[in-house]
Amino acid sequence: MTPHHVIGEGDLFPDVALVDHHGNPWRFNDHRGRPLVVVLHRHLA
Amino acid sequence: MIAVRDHLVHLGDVLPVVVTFTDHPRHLAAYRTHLQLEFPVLADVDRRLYHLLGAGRGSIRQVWSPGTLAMYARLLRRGRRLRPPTEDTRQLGADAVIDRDGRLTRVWLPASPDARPAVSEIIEVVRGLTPG
Repeated sequence: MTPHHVIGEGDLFPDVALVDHHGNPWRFNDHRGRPLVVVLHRHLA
Repeated sequence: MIAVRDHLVHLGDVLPVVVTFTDHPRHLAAYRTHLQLEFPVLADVDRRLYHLLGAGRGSIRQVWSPGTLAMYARLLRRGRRLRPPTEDTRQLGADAVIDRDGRLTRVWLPASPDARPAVSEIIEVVRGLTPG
């Protein structure tokens, strides 16, 4: 997958690793079984 | 995300997550406390998620559209204390619903920062998902 690959509706969501507000790793695959609403915020204003 | 916070009861067992690209986790925690969010606030430092969803950067005109200025005026009137941004203010953001199997069900890519989907629209998509 290239860094700018774009996924579309119906695609399996990649297991992107993020960091949570405690500084801990947070992965999408750890939350399978529960729907997610993802809000990509533009900045912390 | 305030609207999502205020309508959690209508979202069933959905887990909302807010994603931004600050590289300071303590900013995430302060932001979460400031907005009284009960769900995770996550950092996407290298913007991989933004790129995956096709979220773009807007022009100055898009980002500071009359609608965006009106949105910030509304927030100020409601008592929100706005903080100086420390990140990329030209990022447009996005909203997405992922189903229980990890499949992207719906993505909204706004043309300007104020053009986010109504929470009722998100709730409608969530209600259409297969029950757990």
